[in-house]
Amino acid sequence: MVRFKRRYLLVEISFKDGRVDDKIATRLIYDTVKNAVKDSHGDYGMACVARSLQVKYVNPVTGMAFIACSRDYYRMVWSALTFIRTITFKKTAIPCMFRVLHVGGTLVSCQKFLIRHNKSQLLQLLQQCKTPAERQKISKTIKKAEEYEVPLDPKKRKIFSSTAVKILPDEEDFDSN
Amino acid sequence: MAAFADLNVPYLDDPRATEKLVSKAVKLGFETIAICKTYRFQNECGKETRKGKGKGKDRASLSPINWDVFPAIQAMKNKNPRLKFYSRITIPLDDQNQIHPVFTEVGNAFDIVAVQPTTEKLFQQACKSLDIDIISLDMTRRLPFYLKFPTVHAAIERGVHFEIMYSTALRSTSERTQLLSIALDLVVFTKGKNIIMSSGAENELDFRGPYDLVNLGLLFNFKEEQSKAAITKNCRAVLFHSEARRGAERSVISGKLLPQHANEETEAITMETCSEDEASKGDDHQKEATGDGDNGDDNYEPTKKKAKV
Repeated sequence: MVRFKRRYLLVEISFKDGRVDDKIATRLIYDTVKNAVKDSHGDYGMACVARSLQVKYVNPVTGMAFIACSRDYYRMVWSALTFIRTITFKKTAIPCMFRVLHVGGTLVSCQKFLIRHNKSQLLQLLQQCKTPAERQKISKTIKKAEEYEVPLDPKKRKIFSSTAVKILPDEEDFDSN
Repeated sequence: MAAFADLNVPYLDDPRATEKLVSKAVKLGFETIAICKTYRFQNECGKETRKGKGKGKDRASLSPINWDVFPAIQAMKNKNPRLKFYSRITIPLDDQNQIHPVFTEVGNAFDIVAVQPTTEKLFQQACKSLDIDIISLDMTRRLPFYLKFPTVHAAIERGVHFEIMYSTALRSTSERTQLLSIALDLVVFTKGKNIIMSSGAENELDFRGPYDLVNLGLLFNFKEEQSKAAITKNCRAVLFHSEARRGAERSVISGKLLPQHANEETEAITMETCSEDEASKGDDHQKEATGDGDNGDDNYEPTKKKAKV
């Protein structure tokens, strides 16, 4: 028995001027990606991708999303993602940009990457800080994030799944600033 | 590995807007960026020329576009020394008569010179004889001529690169189809060599990340390696080629004064190209220089450069 091989694309969705839009939801991204695949690869591409395409996780605050699809056709999904210009939300098209940060074979590897990425992002923010108050705030979040790093050990996965997700919303306040 | 490069970030009238574009490109991971002006023949001919000459003067300090307008770019450069900025000009060619006056004016003022030929004859000329670095085809419409193998091959031999500007593909379905078909054609004729991908994005959101572009290249029938080369190695080759075109007439080795050795004349000259590449290659070039030193053929120079890269 061979398992069904997938690829997980970690996608960063960014809007104009680094703004954040918390309206993006799983369903919305799924539709956008599906339409994009149809636009750029036609019926054949749609047929290849449709069965396995899934949006696993969306964080509207950081604009991160995991998109899963079968390993044979992930290039198709990826190239469709590059052609996306807008997300249509309730009939208003919001210009945006999809950028693939990481391609992984398992969700855990993607998650690890995402946490590392967020951490480095926080460090960058720390460097950009001008007032000491801001500095303190960010270093506090970094410390907090470090606490959650231990559960990444696969043996302690149970704790991980319940706590680690909390890391992301915390940092976000700074991303939007 | 060469750094990721975007050799076409348009120069907008508003310097703030240009800065925004550049900072976005840097954020996405590009490290070599060329700011591109488009030469307009009728309207702003005089103005552009004057600007061009001004840039020519301070070429010694390696800041061809008057970078004073972009304080943010300077700041970025100071913060991250790996960032490199270049200036580039794109000249749309419609008429045979335009060529000569333009090139005498523009020649040395910009780091990179690109042309956009619109007729078959001009395309041929661009491939075979013009002293340029990049041939950029208008990919929003059908090509008014067919690409031919000997012509394209001549360009590759000389080390001239072809450009695929992907931002037009994002605009509409028809333009995307057009770009894909021309790009596919181009890849067939060049066998995937000597092609660079660049953005030409007038909007912040028209940029795409480097790895997205590598994947996009696979759509153009690039091989994976070539696709990556299109935004790394080939861009570096363009820069070497332009260096050869500007700095050295009928010579192979070019030197630059390093600041710490400025006073000691004996140590002053270092082989710039060798510092970029392996130093061992330097000997080979020396030999070539003495052997073919009196070769006045224009075609001679670029092939040499290509061999280095």
